[in-house]
Amino acid sequence: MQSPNTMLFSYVPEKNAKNCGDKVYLIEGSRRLTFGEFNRRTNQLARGFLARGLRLGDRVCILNHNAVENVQAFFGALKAGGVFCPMNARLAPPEVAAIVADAEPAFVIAGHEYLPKLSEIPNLDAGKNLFVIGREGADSFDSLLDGHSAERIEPDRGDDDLAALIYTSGTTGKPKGVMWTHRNLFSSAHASAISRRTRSIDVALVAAPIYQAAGVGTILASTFRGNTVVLLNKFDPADYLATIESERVTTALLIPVMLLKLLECPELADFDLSSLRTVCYGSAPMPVNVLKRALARFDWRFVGACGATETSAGYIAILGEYDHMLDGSPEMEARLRSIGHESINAEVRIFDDEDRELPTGEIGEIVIRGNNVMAGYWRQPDLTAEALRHGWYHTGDVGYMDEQGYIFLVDRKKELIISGGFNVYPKEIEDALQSHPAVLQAAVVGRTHPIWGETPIAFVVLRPGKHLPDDQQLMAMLREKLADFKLPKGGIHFIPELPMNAAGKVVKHELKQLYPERFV
Amino acid sequence: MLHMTIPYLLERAARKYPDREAVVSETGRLTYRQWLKNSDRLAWALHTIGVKKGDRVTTLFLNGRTVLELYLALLKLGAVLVPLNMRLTAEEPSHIVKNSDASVFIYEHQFRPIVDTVRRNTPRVNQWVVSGGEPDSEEASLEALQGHNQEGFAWPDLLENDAACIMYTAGTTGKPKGVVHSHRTCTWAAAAAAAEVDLAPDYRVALVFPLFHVAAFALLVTNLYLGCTTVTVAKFDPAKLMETVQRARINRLVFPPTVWNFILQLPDLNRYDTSSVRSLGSGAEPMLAHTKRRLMEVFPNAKLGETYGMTETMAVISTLKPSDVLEKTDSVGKPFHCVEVRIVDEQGCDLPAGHIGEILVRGPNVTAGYYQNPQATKEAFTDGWLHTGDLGETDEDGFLYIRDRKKDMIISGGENIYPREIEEVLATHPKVQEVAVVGAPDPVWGQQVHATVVLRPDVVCAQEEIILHCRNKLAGFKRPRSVTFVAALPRSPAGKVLKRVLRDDLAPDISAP
Repeated sequence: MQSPNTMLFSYVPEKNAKNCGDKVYLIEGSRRLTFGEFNRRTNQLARGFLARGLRLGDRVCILNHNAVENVQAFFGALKAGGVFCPMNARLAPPEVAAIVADAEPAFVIAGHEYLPKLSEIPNLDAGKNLFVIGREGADSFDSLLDGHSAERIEPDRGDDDLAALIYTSGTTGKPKGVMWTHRNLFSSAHASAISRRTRSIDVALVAAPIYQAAGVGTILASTFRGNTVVLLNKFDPADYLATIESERVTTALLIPVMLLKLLECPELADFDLSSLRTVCYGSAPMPVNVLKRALARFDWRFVGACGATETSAGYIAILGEYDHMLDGSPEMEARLRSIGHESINAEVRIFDDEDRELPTGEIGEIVIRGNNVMAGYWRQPDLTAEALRHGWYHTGDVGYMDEQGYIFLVDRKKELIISGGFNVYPKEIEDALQSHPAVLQAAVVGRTHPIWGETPIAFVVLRPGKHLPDDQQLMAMLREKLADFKLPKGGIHFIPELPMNAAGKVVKHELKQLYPERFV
Repeated sequence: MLHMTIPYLLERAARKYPDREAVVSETGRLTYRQWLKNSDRLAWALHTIGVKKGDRVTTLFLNGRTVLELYLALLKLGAVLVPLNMRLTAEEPSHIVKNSDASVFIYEHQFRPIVDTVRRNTPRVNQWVVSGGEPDSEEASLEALQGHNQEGFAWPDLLENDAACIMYTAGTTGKPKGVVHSHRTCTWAAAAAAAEVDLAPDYRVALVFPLFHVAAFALLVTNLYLGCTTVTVAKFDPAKLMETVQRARINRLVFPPTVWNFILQLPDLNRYDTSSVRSLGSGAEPMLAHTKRRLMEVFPNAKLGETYGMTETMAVISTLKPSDVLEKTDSVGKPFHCVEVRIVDEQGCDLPAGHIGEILVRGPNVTAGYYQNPQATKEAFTDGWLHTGDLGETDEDGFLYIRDRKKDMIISGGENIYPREIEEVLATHPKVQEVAVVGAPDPVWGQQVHATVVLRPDVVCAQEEIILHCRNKLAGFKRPRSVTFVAALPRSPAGKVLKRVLRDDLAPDISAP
């Protein structure tokens, strides 16, 4: 028997159905689902999974764009005692196959458009362990629900049991499954709801993909608050603005590139945006000039949220709405460059290389602990132990904290590139380039980019020989192997040799100096 | 994994806001940095006299700087607080000390008379510590304890499920039971309140009721959670409180309705500057709409919200938002987001909106059980839910209404009668100031409705007048058969009417009119 103080996140739909069963929960185009319908459907789905053999802790993978089915699959899996594992819909087939091989799901759910991406995966059997969204019949997603009771169902799970597995790119090129427990979901949804100051009457607009931490986190926090959630499956500025107007959206999650595109949308003035009250944006890296333009242009409250997949939906730091109310002082303006104060249920410190805490103002690695910090990386104990050493998650971000507790990012310890909100590790691109027989060496670095924040740029040393590929041919090869957002939009540049240090390691910051003028 | 404990909250606040005023009391002020430093020093001192993790420590203090330093010191050592109510009489304090297996008793000097009686009955207490006065031969003085960071001393590992306090229920039913709260249940209650009650880190919050009240304890933990300033008041006096509000620029005040009424009865209320007050809270029982409106007049800058909770839930179950306070006047609001509530019938089946049943609760703030009382624990926690013993219903919008205590329900001739329904009718009688209805034993019907009435000052009233008032308003079986008039209703320290006392007072031979 569970204790009455267990924090299972799967109870939230049940509670919402009870509190506001007839209220619309999910909106996707013309589709609308109430809290009551959603709860009944997820109960049926959970029973469907169980009837087809799902055991406690089994994974349910999903490959689809933002749609109501993704959210149903999430809570259906949780209610059955399973683990929800959303996959990035933009990944290339080999990348999807690598995740499925790693997660070993009991079930895969896919939008019918995405079936070709599953072609390389063995032992997938439609109607048995593969179910398709947007299709009728015995292998359809809906068939999982058929004939099952909509009565409440309680999984036999505890606070620290796994609830979700979110894959991110790995430094090593191998996918990393970040393990979120029920505790993580519960406490981070709670922290998110507090820091974003959401109200139960809010209508949230989510265009960020709900297979990533930011998008999943918004779904979690909105569901926790009993909010209506409007899903968009891509970001088109005019369509986005029209949705705010038509659905009377009150709160939205924007990544910097989206905000910039809204500001530059020619039809911006044509829409009634008066319902929108709070905008939460991903604060790292948010260009301050974009933010200042937005503050001047929109009468919205802004909240900056900085998180990592490893900190689940609960953030590392929050730049609160009052920090955006500029009073003309240089101090306030300088704060806009920070990621704000540590998140409410978390604690942030700055460590040196030996994990000793550094005094205020000194630069070191940003580390965090709290109920929102992941349980670890799926089946990667060494990587987990390294990332969570001494009880702190090491973010790989380098920064400092000022006297008032504002945290500033300075650099990145890891070679991570964040392009349009997606994490890209150079190693993945380098490995893909080096798979070409003519490529001797490849090195990828991130460059600032006015729209995407950052973008990868590749440097290649070719083997001597005839029939050498040009950059277009290499790019075409990358397209087969990698998701589109990982492509080096900064170009593939051929150089005679890579700068190396004495230890034989590529000196990446020298590479960054090679083409500075192109990206300023 | 980080264990969210109460001492951790203080450390966190001290890191975030080292120089912010943390405590403002009649006997001095503390910044967060000082609070942490002083409580650490006190913890080392208490360690030297043998206080260790898991020890139950009874405390008897009025609110002030000392008790706040002491509590954080004890909690950091892993000791379990057993706050004692100074208004308890006779055997009750000894019962709590014995029941909790307390080995240490720390008290404020003025309570020596209580301690003298307790000491005779509690041989298991091996350490008596007095604060603010001369110790006798068997005692240590809290102030004289010298603490320093000893070589080799290490703070005990404190886990979130370790017990933080045992709160003895006010006893609206039976003998006091010790409700065990862990650091986890306390910090989650604080997290819930921080998220959904009108609170902010820069608020100055008045701590008026002593910390044996679960609401007061929860308020303290919430202040630590957010980093608020706790302004302590040792003794409640309406006029003095209003002076403190004005002088200390209080931002938030929380009281049960009965206490609000005391304040509203002050003759010259408008002479106080209440402009600093932005947030008002009420709990323990529903507040009349009239009182709500008066409060809003007296505190024009404040929003009023209400909460419903109990000792077992660290005062957190549901909250009525300021925007709903005048719309859903007799509701206790909606469950906090981290709390789930069910209304069930006798068989444990969920009831639809509009049907009265027992309120069940689940959430990270719910107690793990009663101390040394597996029977009561088992009864209260069937099927993974806390059975509150409260009867209630929800409306179509999901708002929760408390109809009565299950134990207060009257069954007369097989009919269920909810006393509150009758009380609401009687309260509309012009001569009635307060009323409480209970079941009196009856040889024929099992129980009969009995009303205990407090009349308005200087009025005379016969019991027939009270009974007649119900004639066209209540079904025959719900009308009171007998009425007694009293000067005041017996109330728990939290302000709840003690119906158990009223029932006990009813002689079995009470005659119908």
